Amino acid sequence: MRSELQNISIEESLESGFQAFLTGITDESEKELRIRAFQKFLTRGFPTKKEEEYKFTPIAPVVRKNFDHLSIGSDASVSPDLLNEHLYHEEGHHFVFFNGIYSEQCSRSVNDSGLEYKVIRDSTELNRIADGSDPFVSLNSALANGSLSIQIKRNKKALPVFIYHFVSSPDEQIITNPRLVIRAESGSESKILEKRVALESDNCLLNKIIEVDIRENASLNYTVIQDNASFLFETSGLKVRQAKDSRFYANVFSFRGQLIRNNIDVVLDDENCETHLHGLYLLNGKSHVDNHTSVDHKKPNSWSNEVYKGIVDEFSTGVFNGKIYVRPDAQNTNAFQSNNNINLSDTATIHTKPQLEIWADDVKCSHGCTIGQLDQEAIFYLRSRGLDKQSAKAMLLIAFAEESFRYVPFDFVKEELDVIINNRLGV
Amino acid sequence: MLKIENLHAEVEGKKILNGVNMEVKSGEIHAIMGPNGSGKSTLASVLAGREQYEVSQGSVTYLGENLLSLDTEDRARKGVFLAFQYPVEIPGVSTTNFLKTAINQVRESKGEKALDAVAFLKLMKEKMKLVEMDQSLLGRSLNEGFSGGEKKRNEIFQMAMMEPKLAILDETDSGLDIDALKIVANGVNSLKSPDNATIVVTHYQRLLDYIVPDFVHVLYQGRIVKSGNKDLALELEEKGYDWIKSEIEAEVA
Repeated sequence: MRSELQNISIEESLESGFQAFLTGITDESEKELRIRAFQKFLTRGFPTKKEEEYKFTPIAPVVRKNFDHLSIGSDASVSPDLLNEHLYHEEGHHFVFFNGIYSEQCSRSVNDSGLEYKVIRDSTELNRIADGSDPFVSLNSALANGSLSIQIKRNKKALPVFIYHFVSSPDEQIITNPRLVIRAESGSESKILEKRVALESDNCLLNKIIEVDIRENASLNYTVIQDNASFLFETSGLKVRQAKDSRFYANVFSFRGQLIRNNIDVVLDDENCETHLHGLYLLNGKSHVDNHTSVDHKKPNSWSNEVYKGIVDEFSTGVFNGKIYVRPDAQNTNAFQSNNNINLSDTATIHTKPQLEIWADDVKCSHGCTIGQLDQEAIFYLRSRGLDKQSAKAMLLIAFAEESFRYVPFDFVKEELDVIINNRLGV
Repeated sequence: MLKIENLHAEVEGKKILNGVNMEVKSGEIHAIMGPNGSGKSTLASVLAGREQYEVSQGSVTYLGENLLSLDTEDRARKGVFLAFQYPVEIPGVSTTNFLKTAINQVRESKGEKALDAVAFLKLMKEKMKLVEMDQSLLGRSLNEGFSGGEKKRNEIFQMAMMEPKLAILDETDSGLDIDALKIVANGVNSLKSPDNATIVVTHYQRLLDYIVPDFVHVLYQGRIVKSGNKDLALELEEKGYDWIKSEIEAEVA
């Protein structure tokens, strides 16, 4: 199969997949929307390092190097045993995507007056929050199939939401395009945890987009764990719009991945919003993780706080770029950002860049980024009390990382994170 | 307990210790005094195993073992304790959490059972009294935002928890006011037993009013140039270090 395809480009293989996919769509206006989105993607293509935003994470060469074609992932079902193994045994809604397509059959939901969900077939419901100028949004909009829409009901506290991305395609290189649209109605409260389950597969590009609409006085907490298998390449977009008095929390943990690019864009669209972005990347091997975030203060009296921590070892690379916009109307904004990194190896790399654009004059904004090594004097201090070297290092690194757990609303996730970190640090 | 013979040590190629000889027996308190830059802290660091210091010559025998061949943590596990001149601030690690890990690693290395939370807390409460330590400090990040006195008290508190055989106090008195000094000295005195020994490194005689040494050694230019009993400290206080310096220079000439 692969040899026949060798002469065509990735984009061409995508296009033939897209054409085949289109034949399954009968609605003409729907077809039109998707064709437009796909054309938009093709005009731009996968970003190269010539694009400022992708300077340190050029997607195009990575895709060309690791894929010789891209098929569109197809649906399959997961055995009950596998589901049992990988789904959290917690009360709540367990939504399963298989190769990017929402699977009602594999999902397990419970009766909950706080939540409603449905499958979206009509892409007019998409891109209300996401910005079509992002090539990965365009690509996802063209190819998303079986998207999920979740509504957290007004003034209700929903049961926890768990989202799983199963990936499996042993014989083919695929692209999967999961799409989620979440609307937190006014006064609602919800928490969401997302993880990947990579089964056996040839290389896979996971191109995920989540749109989140947080209405007045609602609160939404989103946690994601990226501990990706070696065949999984990931581009993830999280596009958030906040209304008046709303709260949004994101907790992003990245432990492993040949390529992970996270684009988180939050628009604080009204007054008195509160936004907390916390991230931790703890990398080794040749992992490459890029966190691009944007926090856009459009109206007065809001508060955003962003704290990303990085620990890189071996040949890994961590990239951080944090934009804060404070628009002319957004007086009395409080916006804070920090990115602190510990580099454990001569061969690991950190690129960090804060970017603040402030048009209002009565604001409090601060940012800071640091790159350093472990404090040798602190290690000596701990060892002089009887801790072995490995435990001393781990204790310092865990203390450094701990701040990023602060808003994780699930205790079992904190325990899982502890296990991952302890394993990584060899204690 | 401890025998230092002809110890030479350097840091980044700079020779600091030039043949230190000293013997410490169980139950004894030794004071090491000397002007700034004489090598006092280097000696303390070498005994505790600070890696930047390179021993170029000589030996240190501790309880019949070659101390210099042991890693820092193994020295601690065998009962060597260094109270730091400048205790390190470690954000995010509480004294309680850190000490529990440390004590249990030490216990495990000796084949003893780890202390459970209740037993640990009991031990902690008992030792806190000794140095009049406030419990709220112990839940906070290690030494972060502590005053100079609180840091030094925390060192002695840790020492009380670890129950070392050989305690080395590196300028524990510098920067302390008299009341804090008394508390620290009280702690040290009440931990004294016929089975352990203490080396007090200090620049000032004042501490020795409260911790009475059996022996006083003067370190100058990396060697012990004079040893005596506690009266030597008083003499130094009165005459200053210039007296020793000129005596040495006269000898050399």
